[in-house]
Amino acid sequence: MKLLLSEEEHDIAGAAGLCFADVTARVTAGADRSAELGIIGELGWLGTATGPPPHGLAPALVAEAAGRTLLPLPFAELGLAVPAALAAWPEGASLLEAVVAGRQAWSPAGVDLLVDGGRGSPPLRAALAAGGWVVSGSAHHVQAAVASTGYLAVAADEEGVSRLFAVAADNVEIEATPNADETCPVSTVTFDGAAGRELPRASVDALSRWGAVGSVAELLGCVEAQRDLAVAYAKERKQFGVPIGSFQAVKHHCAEMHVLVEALRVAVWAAAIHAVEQEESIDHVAVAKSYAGKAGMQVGKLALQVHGGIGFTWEHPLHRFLKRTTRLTSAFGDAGWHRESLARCHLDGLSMP
Amino acid sequence: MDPIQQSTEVSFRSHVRQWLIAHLPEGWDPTSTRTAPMEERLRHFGRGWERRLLNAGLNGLSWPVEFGGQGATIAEEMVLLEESARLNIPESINNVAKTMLGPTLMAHGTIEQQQRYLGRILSGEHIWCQGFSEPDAGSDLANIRTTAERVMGGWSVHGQKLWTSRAQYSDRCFAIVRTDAESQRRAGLSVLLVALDQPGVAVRPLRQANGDDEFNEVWFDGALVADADVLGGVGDGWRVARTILSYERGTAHFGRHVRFRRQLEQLIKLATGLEISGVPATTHAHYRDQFMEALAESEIYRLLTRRELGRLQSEEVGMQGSFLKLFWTEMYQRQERLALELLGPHADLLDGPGALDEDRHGLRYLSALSRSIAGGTSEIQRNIVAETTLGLPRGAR
Repeated sequence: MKLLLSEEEHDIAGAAGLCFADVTARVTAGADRSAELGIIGELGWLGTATGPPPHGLAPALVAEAAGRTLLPLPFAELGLAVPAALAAWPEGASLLEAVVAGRQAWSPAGVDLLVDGGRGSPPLRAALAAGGWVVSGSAHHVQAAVASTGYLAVAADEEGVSRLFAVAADNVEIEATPNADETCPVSTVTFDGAAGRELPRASVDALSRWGAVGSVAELLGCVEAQRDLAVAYAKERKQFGVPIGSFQAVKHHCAEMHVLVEALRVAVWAAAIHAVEQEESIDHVAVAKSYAGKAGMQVGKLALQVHGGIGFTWEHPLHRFLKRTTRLTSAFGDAGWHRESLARCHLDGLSMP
Repeated sequence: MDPIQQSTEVSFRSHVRQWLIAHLPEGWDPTSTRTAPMEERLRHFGRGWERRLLNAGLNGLSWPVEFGGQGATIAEEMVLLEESARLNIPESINNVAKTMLGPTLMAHGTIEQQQRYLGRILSGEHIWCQGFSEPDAGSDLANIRTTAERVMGGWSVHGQKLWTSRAQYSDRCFAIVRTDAESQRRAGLSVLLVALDQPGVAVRPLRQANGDDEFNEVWFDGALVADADVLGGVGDGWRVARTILSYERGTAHFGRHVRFRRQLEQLIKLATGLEISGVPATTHAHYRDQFMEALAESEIYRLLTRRELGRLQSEEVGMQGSFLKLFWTEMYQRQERLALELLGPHADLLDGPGALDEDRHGLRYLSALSRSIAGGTSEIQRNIVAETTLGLPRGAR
C-alpha cells in the first residue's frame, strides 16, 4: 500500500482546499449553500467515489480539505456516501448525475439504524404496501445545510432487516433542530407512509462505508486545522516576554497533537484505499474510526488548551472545529461501534486454548 | 510499488523466512512471544548468529557493497527485520553499530577506519556500545564531562559513562568526550572509538527495575585511544554525534510492529481462556473494546512504518525516529497496562502454575515504561518534534 502522495494527489488536495476555502468564505458572507453545492459539483468534487475501484486517495483528500476549511456542507454525506450509494444502483443513473453535478441534494436519513446510533429512539420503518414500499417514522440529525430533493432513508422492514429507500421530499415534514455544530445545520424529518424506491444491498454498504471514510477524513482535516491553529498561535502569543511555544508544557501539547494527527492520517488513507476493496486482513475503515474517536477528542482538547481563553470565544474559529470534530466522531458509527465490528472478526470464533 | 519490485520482495521474503527457520537454534520456540533473557540471546543470537547472517548474505543488507554490505534495498532490510520478529528472534546484539555507527563511519570515517571496522561489525567480531550518556549528561548531551588528554600518539580518557547498553558484552565503544578541557557545551568535543579490553576501562553492569542487567556504568581511567581512532576530527564531536543520532531513524521500528502485534495476539489468545465477571474475557465488553483499540493502534503503527519506508525510498525526509518512538512507546505502555489489568493478581506471578503465560507481564510492563526514557526521553522527543517539525522556538529547558 502506497502511503505517499503523488504529484497529482498533491494537486487534488490543494485545489479542493482552495475551492472549499472560497465556498466557506462566501457562505460566511451570506451566500446560499445550495448554489455553492452546484459550484462544487461543477468542479467535480462530488464524484470521487462513484467510479469503479480503485478510487485511490482522492476521496479522502477531498473530504479532508472539507474538514480543514470547515466547509459548511456535510461533505461526507453529500460528497461521498450518497453519490457512492447511487452509483451502486443501476436504476439511479439520472439521480446520480444530478447529485454529482450538485444540482440536487439527496440526504441520508435514518443511518443510525446501520451503526447503532439511535440510542433507543425508534428507527424508520418500511412496509410493503400495494403500490410498493412506504417509509414511516422520524429521522434525527438529517442534514439541513441545503434543501433536500429527496432522502436516502434507511428503514427497518417488518422482519427488522435494514433496507435503503429513495424517498422524494414531497410528503415529509421537516423540523429544524438546533445543533452544536451550527456550520452544518440539521433537522428532524418525519415520513408518514412516504413512497420509496428500494436501493440494492450494495448501495447500503456504499452509503455506510463511504460515509465512515468521509467522516473520518473530514475529521482528519478538522484536527489538522486545530493543530495548525494552535502551533501558529503558540509562535505568536507572548507571555512572560516570550512566545508561549517556547515553553515545554505548550510545546509538548503541540507535539502530541502532531503525533495524533499524522497517525490518524495514515489510518484515513488506508481506509480510503480499502473502503470497498477489503482484501486486507483487517478492516481499515474500522481502524481509522476507532483511532479517530480518541485522536479527535484529544487534539480538540489540547488545541483549546494551547489557545487559552481566546479559543473559547465565539469570534475565534476554534470552537467551530471542535464542534465539527465532536459531531464527526460519532457519524457513521462511533469508535465503540467500529471496535465492536473489529471484535466480531478478531475475537469471536477464537477457540478456547 | 511496481509489480516487479513487489514480486522480488515476495520471493526475498520467502527466501529469508526459509533461511531463518532452517538456522534457528535448537530448542528455540519461534511461536513464543516471551522476551529471552540476555544470556540466551547471547548464546543463540550473538556473534555466531551475526557471522552466519553475513555468510548467508543477510547481514548489512542495505549497506553498500563497497563497505562489505549486500547493497540491497531498504525494503529488503525491512523484510529481514519483520521475518526475524515473526520468529521471535531478538533485535541484533550489534544494533547500534549496524544502524548508527556503520553509516557514520561511511560518511565521516577515514578509509583506514572504514577498512578496520566496517567488516568486523558485520562479522560479529566487534560488538559496539554507544558511550553518550553520563551522570550529568542525559537529556542534556552537551554537558559531557568525560575528558581526553593529549598523550603521545593519541588520547588518554578519564571519566564515566552511564546507561551504556550491553557494554559488558561489547568490544568497543563509540564515545563522545571532551578533548579540550577548557571548552564548554558543544565545542571541544570529539567522538572516539575506544577499545574496551584494556586496563583503563572498567564496566559495571547495573541491575534494572525489570531484573535485567542490560545497561552499565563504564569507567575510563587512562584508557588509551590512538589518533587514528578519532572519528571525524578532533573538536568535531558535536557534529559527528548529531550524524550518529540522525541515523536513529524509523528503521528501528521496521520489525517492531510484528513483535508488537504477535504479543497482542498472544494476549488475546490468553484472554479466550480467562473468565472475568463470569464470562470469557473476549466476550467482556470492556476488554473487547480495549483489545480492539490496541489492535487498531498496532495496525496504524504498521502503516506508519510503511510510510516511513516509502519516505526513505523516495528520499523524502524521514518522519524522524522521534515521531515513531513517541507513537510506539505510548502504545506499548497502554498494551502492557491492559495485560496487567487482564491478568489481575496473576500478573505478579512470573513462573509456576499460577503464571498464566511465559511473557512475564509484571516485568514487561516495567520494560515498557523504560522505553519512554531510554534512547531519548519522550520529553526530549516532543521537543524535537515541536522544534524541528513544527518550528516552535527553542526555549529554556
